[in-house]
Amino acid sequence: MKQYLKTFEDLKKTANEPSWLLRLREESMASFARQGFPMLQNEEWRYTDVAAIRETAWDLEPAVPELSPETIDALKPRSGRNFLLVLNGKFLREYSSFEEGLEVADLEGAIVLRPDLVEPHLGRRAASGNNAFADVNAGLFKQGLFIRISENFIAKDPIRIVFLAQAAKGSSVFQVRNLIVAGKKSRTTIVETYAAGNEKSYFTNAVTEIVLEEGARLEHCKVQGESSEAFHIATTQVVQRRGSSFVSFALSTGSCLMRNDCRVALEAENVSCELNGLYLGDGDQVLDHQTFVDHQKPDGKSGQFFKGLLAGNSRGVFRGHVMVRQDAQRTEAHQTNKNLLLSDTAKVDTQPQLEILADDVKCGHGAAVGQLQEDALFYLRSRGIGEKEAEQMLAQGFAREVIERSSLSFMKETLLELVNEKLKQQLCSRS
Amino acid sequence: MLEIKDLHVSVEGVEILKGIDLTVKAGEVHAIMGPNGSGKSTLTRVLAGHPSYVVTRGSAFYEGKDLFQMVIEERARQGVFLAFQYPIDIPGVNNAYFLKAAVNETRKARGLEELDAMEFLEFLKEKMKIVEMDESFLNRPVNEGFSGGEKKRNEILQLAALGPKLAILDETDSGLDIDALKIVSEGVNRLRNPERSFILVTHYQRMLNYITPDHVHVLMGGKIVMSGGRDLAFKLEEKGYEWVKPDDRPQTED
Repeated sequence: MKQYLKTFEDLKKTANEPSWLLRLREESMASFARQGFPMLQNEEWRYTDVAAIRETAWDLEPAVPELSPETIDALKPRSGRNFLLVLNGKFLREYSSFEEGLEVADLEGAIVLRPDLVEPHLGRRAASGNNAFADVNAGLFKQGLFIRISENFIAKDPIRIVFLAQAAKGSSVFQVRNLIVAGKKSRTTIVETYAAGNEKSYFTNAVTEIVLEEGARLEHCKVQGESSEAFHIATTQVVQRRGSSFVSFALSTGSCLMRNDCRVALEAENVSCELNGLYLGDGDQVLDHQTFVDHQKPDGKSGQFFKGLLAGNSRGVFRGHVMVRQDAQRTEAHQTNKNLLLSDTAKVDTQPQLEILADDVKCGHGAAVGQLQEDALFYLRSRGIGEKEAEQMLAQGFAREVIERSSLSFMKETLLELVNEKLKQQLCSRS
Repeated sequence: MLEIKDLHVSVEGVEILKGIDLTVKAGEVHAIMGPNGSGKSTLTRVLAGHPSYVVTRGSAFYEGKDLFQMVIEERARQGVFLAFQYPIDIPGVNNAYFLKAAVNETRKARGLEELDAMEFLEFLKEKMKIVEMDESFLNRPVNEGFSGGEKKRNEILQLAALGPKLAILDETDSGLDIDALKIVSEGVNRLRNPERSFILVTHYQRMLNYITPDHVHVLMGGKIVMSGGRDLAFKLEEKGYEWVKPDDRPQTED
């Protein structure tokens, strides 16, 4: 912990930042100093041990290397005009492109140039005093990405953001910080992809804050495909204003240890939110998804649908917390988590949590853990389909449901491809 | 085609089949009838290779090869087909995708070129006519949300698409209304040919009103207790299974 606090003291000396930001940083680091990194005794972390992160002497200020043109070309999407590249947490404007109507900048610049847009949102909710990793991020982030979508703007193409981690030496930590403000009645799709440029060990500590102004619709897809040497801890904090709708899909296949906290505050009336997720683990991976959906006002709707496929010694965690506050009458909230264990040593912990303080609500939840059905395998094999292919087909069918059911239409094919690729690895390790 | 000798089969330590002898020649249709619990379904599943059924004694040779030495998919690829009594739902797997994978696996095993998506669709459309199935079936997940009749028709469609040499139908008539029964039976009749043999397992003889068997066997208490021609089915319908005493030694009716 000392190392983090010392780095912060050094940073304060050199940084020339507005006082509101310094205050945010001070408060965050003070909160971190009080609680330290979470232990298993901490209820919210009881399934995921972060000792490996706690005990590593990380390089807290890694350099941002030069990228070769080949590397950049390989990252660019096949189509669409919106491509943003973030390397080791730093937004690289020169390699990015985006359509008019989008305001995209590095966060460190926006803090100075657009305080009117940044100050009201940055760190207002993500550093809520009970999230050590978000605290560290708030205290130590130096760079980040700022996206503002203009009012009434309808993006023609999805905004594809690649977060590339390229550690110059092992044990680098990258503080990734994003602020996305979707203006009134705007409609956008954002795809965040996390990937590694080499095989060195690193730790991505990401905080993404998203604000949906009145009537905005945002589709958000997060593809976590970090290297197997990586740790990935991320908080996505969403704030929804009146009549807005948020749809998300989290596909998690990478990293040795991942924790995804998705927190949505439905702060006004008539808000809808749909969270979907699919996690596929093998080897010793730990993939932990946490959600907190906070219904604060009447007539909100939320749906959560998460599925896990776990092979080898991997572990999945899903903790879904739905809060319906007293004011939030006529709320509809549903949550489903289904898991398929592909080996005898894979494990999953699933814990739904409904906290309902309003009386006129429709809420439901369900959780299931199962294995590949012997009868279904027999059926497929009795049609001449080989054992491996039959397993692959069943697992794929299981995964497909969550992709098909989500409202993210444009990403379906890509997601299925990524899932199939990972499934092959998972099933290889099976025999 | 198929030669079963003294077959004994157990499930979870309980002996269900207690010495079955059955010979099926190319092009023949054999009906196996019997009351519930007599071991009819066990016989079909053990031939297809269901892992829960353990052969404790006896043998089954298919085209001269030891069937029990072949894994499930190998039996299918060599031309053994089982139409399930209760076809299994496969959520998230599209029917057309499943059928294409199955057809191409069998084609590969027979040294034929795999069909591409277009060729397969053409091929399948022809087969779908046999069971009067419409194309919307192809884009639905396998058996999921299908009615009983639709599931059975889907089984016969698979039979038609895979073109086996030995087709085993496990109570395909159960749960069918009279129209569906006609469609399914008619489908089977169109698929009969001198190289293809059928084993029809059924509780009632009503399917045999539409499909004329060459031989009828009565299976009771894990043994074939009586064998005969088509008339045997009528007699069973008329007199019930009590008429055949399970203790009777295997005998020939005619």
